[in-house]
Amino acid sequence: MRAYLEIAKKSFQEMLSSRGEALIRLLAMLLSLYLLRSFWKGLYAGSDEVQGMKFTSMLTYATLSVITGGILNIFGLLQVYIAYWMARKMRSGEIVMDLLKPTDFELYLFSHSTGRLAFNLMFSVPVAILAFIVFRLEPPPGPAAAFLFMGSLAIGYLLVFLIDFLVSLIAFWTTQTRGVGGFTRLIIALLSGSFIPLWFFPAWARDALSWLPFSSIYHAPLSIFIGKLKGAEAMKTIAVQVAWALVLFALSRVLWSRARRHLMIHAG
Amino acid sequence: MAEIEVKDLCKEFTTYVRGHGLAGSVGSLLSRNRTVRKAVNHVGFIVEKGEMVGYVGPNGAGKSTTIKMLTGILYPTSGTVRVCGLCPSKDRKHNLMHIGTVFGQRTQLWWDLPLIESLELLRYIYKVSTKSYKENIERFCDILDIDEFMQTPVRQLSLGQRMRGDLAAALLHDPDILYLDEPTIGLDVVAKERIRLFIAELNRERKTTVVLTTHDLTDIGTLCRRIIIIDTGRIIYDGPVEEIRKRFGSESSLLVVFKEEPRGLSLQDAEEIVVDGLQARIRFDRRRIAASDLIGALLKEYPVSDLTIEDTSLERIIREIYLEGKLDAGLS
Amino acid sequence: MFNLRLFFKLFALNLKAQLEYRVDFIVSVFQIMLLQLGSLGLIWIVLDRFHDLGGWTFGEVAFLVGLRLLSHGILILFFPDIRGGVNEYIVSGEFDRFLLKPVNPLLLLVANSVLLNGFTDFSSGMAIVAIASTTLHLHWTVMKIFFLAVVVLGALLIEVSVYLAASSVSFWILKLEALTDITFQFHEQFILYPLNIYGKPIQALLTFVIPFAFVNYYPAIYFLDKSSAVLFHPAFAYATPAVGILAFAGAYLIWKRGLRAYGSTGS
Repeated sequence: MRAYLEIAKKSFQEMLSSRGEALIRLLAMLLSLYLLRSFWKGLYAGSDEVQGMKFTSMLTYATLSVITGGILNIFGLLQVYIAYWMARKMRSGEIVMDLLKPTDFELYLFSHSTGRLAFNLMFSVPVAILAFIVFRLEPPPGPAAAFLFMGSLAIGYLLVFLIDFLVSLIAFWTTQTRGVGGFTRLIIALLSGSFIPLWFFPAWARDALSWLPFSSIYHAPLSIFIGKLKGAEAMKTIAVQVAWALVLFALSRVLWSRARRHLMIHAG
Repeated sequence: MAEIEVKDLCKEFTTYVRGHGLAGSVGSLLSRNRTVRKAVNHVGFIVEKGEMVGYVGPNGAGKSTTIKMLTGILYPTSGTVRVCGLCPSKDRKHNLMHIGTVFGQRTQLWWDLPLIESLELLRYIYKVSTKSYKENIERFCDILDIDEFMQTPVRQLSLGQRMRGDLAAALLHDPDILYLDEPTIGLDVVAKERIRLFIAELNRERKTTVVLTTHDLTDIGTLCRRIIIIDTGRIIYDGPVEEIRKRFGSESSLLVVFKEEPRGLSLQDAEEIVVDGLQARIRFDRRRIAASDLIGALLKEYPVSDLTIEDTSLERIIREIYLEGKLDAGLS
Repeated sequence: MFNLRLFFKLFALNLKAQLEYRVDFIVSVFQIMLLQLGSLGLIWIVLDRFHDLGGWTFGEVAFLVGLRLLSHGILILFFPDIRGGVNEYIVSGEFDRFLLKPVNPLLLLVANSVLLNGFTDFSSGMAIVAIASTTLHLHWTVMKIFFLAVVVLGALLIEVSVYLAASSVSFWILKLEALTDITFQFHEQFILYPLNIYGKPIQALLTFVIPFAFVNYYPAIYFLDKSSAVLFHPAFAYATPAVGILAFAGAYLIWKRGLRAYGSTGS
């Protein structure tokens, strides 16, 4: 356990040393906030509520989406992070060094990526607080919603990690993941509700998407936060998230043992 | 008229020292600490047509800054540079038509394409006539054997092959002057030798002037008759290589790691012994004692765990020159 | 003439080099198509619910998106390195290579690589403009088609100029990703939507400082006959070619001064 904590700490420190990059991302985040705000303002055109969605709720949703993106940092970067990292290590053969460490590889990567998450949290949370004050956004309807939001967001992070890890395992066969990584990023961008909440999708698309793991990343936690999803419905959404996390985790274990066997046979 | 004329050349770089951290970088927006560094400091030399000159110095001595001013990439702070009568920074294009450059680790070839494609393009850029293009390609195939890999994408070439390709690319337009920056870096012994032979022949047959920067002293030894040594922006020696060789060529150092502290270490034929804990540096002259004899004598008396022989390094030559004042041959 | 021929020779060479990676290209075609049409789909979804965005209907917003993709595609295809490449080359020291050839270094820089993705972008742009035209029942006269071509070239000049100016700053200040990144965000995201939804400062910024609004917003006012949406001055609807030429002249001056600065500082 200690070892994994150390790995997370190390990757946190690595991020600290690239403060310049963080500053740029901060600026980009503020611009995105401004952009989305203008976008929704233009759509609402002064009305308080459209299609049962209040303007302030929508603004809260959009703001949280930018913040969540900053925390998970999957859209700020040009690639799916772990997949990119792994592909590079596969090509250079450096991967062997990581496999030699007496740690569980998936947990090792998870700690690494959680260290980054901690760093992202550190500068995203102040932005969130600032945005809430400046834009006069709505807090969650109650402590239960706030609690569920955090839980749902945490599972969302887990899913991002698992998806990223699964994509990265492809590198063991192809030594590069640009194609698959790009598609994954794209699908998350389009179908997770990061830009347009699934509420506005046609009913059949909304139903279909709510069963996919991608909506867990943005749509589920953010809808809980603004009180659009509550009670039994919220519990159901979280159950779907948990189910996906379990399925993807099991899949990652199977694929990982195959990847390792593949590596031992082919790469030596 | 001399081919390259450098007079009183200076190049200063201004750097701003930044404070640390966020406060520092914000502070540096308001007031900055300026420091002026003289990378090249009153340098002057003349190179005649057909000469082959080694321009050497440790990293950061100012040699590539000088070369950059000769090629017109950098403008001098003061002083003058004339290459074939032209001022390189003002007459950049004309100057470049006269010169060829090979910059060690960086290739000017198209990474993903066969060598021939790069050569075809350069022929167009330098407006080389069909006749001399054909002749030159034939010549390069002959002595550099580039036909072996003419159709292979450059990224698949070995370092030695790529260097040969780069040489061909630099010489396609029959330049009067060839600037070589670390041309043998990273190559194995055979490949190094091959490059050296080619350059020597080029100089002999075409009377191409060659300016060679390197820190591999063997490059200089086999190719150049004249050597210019630069350190911290100043020329500290300009004269025959022979002089340097006579003075330092036969000296080597033996670096020894002992198993236990060698009390009262002494060896008869050593020039100088410096002991530091378990390690020692023994300077000796190969004309007085062969390395094998010295090592034999050492092993007989002391428990040794590791040994390396180090030839005279450029750094040491420079140190010596400073210690002894300027050599008689230099800066006359 | 020599320069133009050299440019196309370099282009052909880079194209050959790119074709070494054919699979990558095919994958990217699908990706870009999916990205562009998928994003358009999202815009359709919201505009189906909200009717208009700052007074612009779905067809009109689609026109903005498509028009931007036309010049963007050409930019990416022919001059991908102008977007942030300079900074990279100066940092790695590779920039010297451009100065060691007896030709204009700007030519070598812009012709340093090609990106086939630009072709896909351009085609997606054509498709989206066509979708917008059908939705809006636009009537294309010969005159309008001619002006469209001129606008696309003018827009291309604007994009080249903005990136050239932004990257020329790396001659003075090395660590410059921030500036190109922010330019990027305005170019890739802000101008996807009509300019009038933003506050005055951003409108002025995108009109007078980094004139990306002339890439699609102002010319769209002419093509869509939407003079009610014009900002600052009605003549702006026709100004794209002139702005392009002006912007390029300005950017080239900055580039020249930057080169001189490079000559005195190295890196």
